[in-house]
Amino acid sequence: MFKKLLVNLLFRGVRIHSLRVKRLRVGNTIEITDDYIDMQPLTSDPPLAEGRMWYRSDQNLIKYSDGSTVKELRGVPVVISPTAGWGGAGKGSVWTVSGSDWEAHDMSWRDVEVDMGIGSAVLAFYEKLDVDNQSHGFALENLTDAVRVVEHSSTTELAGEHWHTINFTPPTGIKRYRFILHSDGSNYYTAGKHSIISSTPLKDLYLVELSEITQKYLVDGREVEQDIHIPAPRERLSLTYGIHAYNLKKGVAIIQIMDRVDPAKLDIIRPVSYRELKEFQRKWKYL
Amino acid sequence: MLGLGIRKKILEWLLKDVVVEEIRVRKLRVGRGTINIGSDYIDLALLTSDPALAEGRLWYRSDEDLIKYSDGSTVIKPTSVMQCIPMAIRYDYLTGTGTTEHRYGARAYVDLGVMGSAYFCVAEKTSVDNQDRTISLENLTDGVVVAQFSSNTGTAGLYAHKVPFTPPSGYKEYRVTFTNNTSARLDVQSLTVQTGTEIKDLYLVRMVEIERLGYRLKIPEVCLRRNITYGIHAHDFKELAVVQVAPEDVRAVEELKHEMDIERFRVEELREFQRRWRWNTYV
Repeated sequence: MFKKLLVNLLFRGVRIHSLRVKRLRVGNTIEITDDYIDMQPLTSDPPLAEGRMWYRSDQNLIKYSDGSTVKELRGVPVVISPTAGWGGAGKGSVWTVSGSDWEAHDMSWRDVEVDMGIGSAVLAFYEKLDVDNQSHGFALENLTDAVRVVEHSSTTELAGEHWHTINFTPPTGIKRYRFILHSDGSNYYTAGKHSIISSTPLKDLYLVELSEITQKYLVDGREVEQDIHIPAPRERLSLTYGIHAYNLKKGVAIIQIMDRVDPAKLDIIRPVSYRELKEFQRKWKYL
Repeated sequence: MLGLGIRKKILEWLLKDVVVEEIRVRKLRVGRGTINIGSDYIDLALLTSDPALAEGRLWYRSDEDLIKYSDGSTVIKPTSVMQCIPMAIRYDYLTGTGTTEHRYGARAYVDLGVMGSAYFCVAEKTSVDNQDRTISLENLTDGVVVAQFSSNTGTAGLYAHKVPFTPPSGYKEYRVTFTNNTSARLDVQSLTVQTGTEIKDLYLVRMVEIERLGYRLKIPEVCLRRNITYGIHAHDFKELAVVQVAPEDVRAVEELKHEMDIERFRVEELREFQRRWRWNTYV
């Protein structure tokens, strides 16, 4: 107490010419070391002042102000886009199927080797249904790990054109990917024009078990069977989900569900917070 | 005078476990003097590898010329790294007059607005002098031709062009088309969108609707009169847009100012209009 009084008395009103410290901690939240500055994770903007800089943890953004407006030191997004291949005049990078087996096509990635470890990402795509409530699906599979990392499956959409975005986090490392789609066996389903961009809001996260299923695929006109891991809730329900982390040894994954589904109807282990997701990604060496 | 060692020990004893309310210094040097905070700026340490990641950690990679920060699990690079999005890689061509969608161009559903200001990069091969042609990047969702190369001058040959523009924020469907107004062959080679733009020669113009390959699309009215290469930086989604005109077309636009609704536009006002019109909410 005496020291505190003495030190504060000594420093009050005094402008020291130069101060050298090994490590500087301000208010126990901002820390400056030899190599870097740790900023306080804020979830709302502070009062504005010209030149003020802070970190918004909920938005993954370094922000600063000119005194009247808030600006962002934005991370340049990584755009893996378009993920579609050749288009066709009047068609535009889409492909159509009618069968119920999952199919890949030259219009998109079939066996593309790429390191998509860009952090959280958004897969955006177009689809067209011929009839109401047509069973259909569009998915991205990581063939190296045999995991369906993103899937849109539905039996309740209306006929016509739809546009979707699905949030997910691809794992680091070069993996072999393919896009696939299926219809109901009689009606046409068209999808494509897809792109992947980094940065995603992370919410509606659930820890789930992974199920290994044997899936029928149509490859170059031949029907083949391959094993693939999907989230367990998908076995009972048509779902639109993206995986943000998985651990094949433990047989679990953290998924973000894009549908408005009552979690009570899903076979989930438990909901997961954004911070827990980051922990799992670190622990599982996913990113 | 006490020696440096003793003074250091006294100060360290005084400061140990004490939270100082406020320290005013002219200059702060942290660690080995690698991070310096002056009255005007902060000098960051020159790192050549990323430190251990922690949420909110900020550092400078001198070998990459990048300020980086982390959300705790990934490294985020806030400084400008060029992104290149291929819209069409294989070439396509027209052997006579007409307009076509690039056969090998990906029609993409993508948020190009995240790139901020950008270039629409076009490579083409003309087969006659002064060949009249147009190559366009179209936002089909909003019905706007966002960037367009158009010319009827130049000797026959292989050319690359960069058209500055700012794509709108949000997911949009894009397609690339080209028009050949001569009977000679026109080859359209690679088409990409790349980050980074020098913004200048801005005009506030009136937009008009045209029909092209099954879509109603808005283009600057001035393009109905002349071959103008332009990129849109802001658009009110109705009838006004701020466009950047290619340097070689500035004269033509200035000449048409007396006949059409065209005004010079100040670069300083662009961001305000981009926000006000909600054209690009990222910039």
